[in-house]
Amino acid sequence: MKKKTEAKARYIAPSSKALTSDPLLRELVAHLRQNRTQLREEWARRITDAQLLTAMTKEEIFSEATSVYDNYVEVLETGSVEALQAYARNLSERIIPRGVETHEVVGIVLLLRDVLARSLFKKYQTDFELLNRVLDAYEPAANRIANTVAVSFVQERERVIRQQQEAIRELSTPVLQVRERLLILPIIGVIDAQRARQLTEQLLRGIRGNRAKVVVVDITGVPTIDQTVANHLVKTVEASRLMGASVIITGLSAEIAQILVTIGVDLSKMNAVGDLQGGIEEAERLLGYKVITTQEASKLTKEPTA
Amino acid sequence: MQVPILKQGGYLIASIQSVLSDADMLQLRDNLGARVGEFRSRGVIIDVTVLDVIDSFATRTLSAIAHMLKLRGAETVIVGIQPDVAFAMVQLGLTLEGVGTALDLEEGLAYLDIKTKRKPGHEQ
Amino acid sequence: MNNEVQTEVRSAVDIVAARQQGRTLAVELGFGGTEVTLIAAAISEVARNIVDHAKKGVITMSNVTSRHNGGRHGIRIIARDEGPGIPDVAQAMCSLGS
Repeated sequence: MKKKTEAKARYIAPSSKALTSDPLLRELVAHLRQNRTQLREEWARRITDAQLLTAMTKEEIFSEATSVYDNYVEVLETGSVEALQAYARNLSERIIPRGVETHEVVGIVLLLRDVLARSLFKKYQTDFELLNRVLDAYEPAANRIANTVAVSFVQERERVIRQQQEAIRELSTPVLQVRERLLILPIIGVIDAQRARQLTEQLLRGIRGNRAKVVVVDITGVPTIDQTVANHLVKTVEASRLMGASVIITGLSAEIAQILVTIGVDLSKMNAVGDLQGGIEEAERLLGYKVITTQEASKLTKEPTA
Repeated sequence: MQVPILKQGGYLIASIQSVLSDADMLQLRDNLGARVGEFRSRGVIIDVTVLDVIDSFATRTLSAIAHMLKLRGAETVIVGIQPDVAFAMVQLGLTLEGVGTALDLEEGLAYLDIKTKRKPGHEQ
Repeated sequence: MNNEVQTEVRSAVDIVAARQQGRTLAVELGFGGTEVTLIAAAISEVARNIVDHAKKGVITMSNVTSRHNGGRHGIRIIARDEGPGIPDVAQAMCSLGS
């Protein structure tokens, strides 16, 4: 058994929470503890038979099975799902990168529930009434456990997916420094509100990091934007100005220009130039304004700041 | 909490050191007004790098300071607005319109150099 | 996890306090830098409204979890002033990717 897995897949010791006052539940918890070895083995065997957790080795399955089993019994005993939730999250964090899927996790928890239920059947089969009462005590608890583990796993999976999506988004929109004090932000594809916000953040941080005075935002590759994103674009220009940088928008299609006009943007105030090349030239002009004469300077209609 | 104001040639630099209360901001306004008059400063830099939030009151006051100083013959530039702060400001509709802004102290000085040289018949 | 913070707002001094508390709570809830600042700024405005238009008020900030979208977390900010007339309820819900 790998030491690493062992260290993390620890049995979580009983908390100080009150143990269940239900004598039946306590009796069955005792039964489950007594038969721990055998029941756990049976469960691990059924997992393999059902061809679940194929991404893990036999030893790993056994190690995790041990922890899940112990946590399961503990929850039955204390009624507290917090420890189980913590364990389930931890387990999910470890197995998701290994490619374990939702149906597998749900599958193994249900198998455990069955293995334990059958064990209870066997023990109390002679007394039908008692068996019923035992099952009445066991079932709601067992179902809650199955639910908790499955939900934790799914939530963790969704979190990982979102993280990956964001990483992809970030990679796909670099802020490029091409000259000193000049940044170019080429935007490609459809932008939603969340991505727009992410772009703004990257741009503003880029302005600070690169000490940019001019930013050329090229939206040639953006087919269309909705009003929310259009508003956002305007806000980005304003926020950049607050940081002392002026923004030149290039690649503004007729359609997007129309949307901007519709939301009330004064296009003459927004520094829009035809294409990226033209935008860069304009930017260089803006950056070079220190070397031109005062007379020429007064003819410049577009100033970097108020 | 008083904001220290340094004199650098024809400019004044007000460097905000910590979060300002409303009263502190008004105090800053009064101090700058007095000093600009006293030194006949041509430009004022207000460094807000340290501020983690610039709300409507701060925006109104900074704007008021800029306009007041303009009447006394000085250009104002606000420097050091952080990315997060700039973003929050525009989300809340606070744009500091009509007030000069620059990235940092160095840029602020450059800004003032240009702005103050433009004035016709301006004494050096 | 149920974090709830209440702040009384009476004068300008309390605005900063409310803002700082909101900032702390937002950080605790795992919001990123930009969102934290936005939340703090929003609280500042809301607190300022109380100070400007009412004698006093209370701002309550708590975490909320959506049942949809895989349990996304958010922050709820409710401002109630004790000025004459209508209670002022401003609710800001930002979402977080976790």
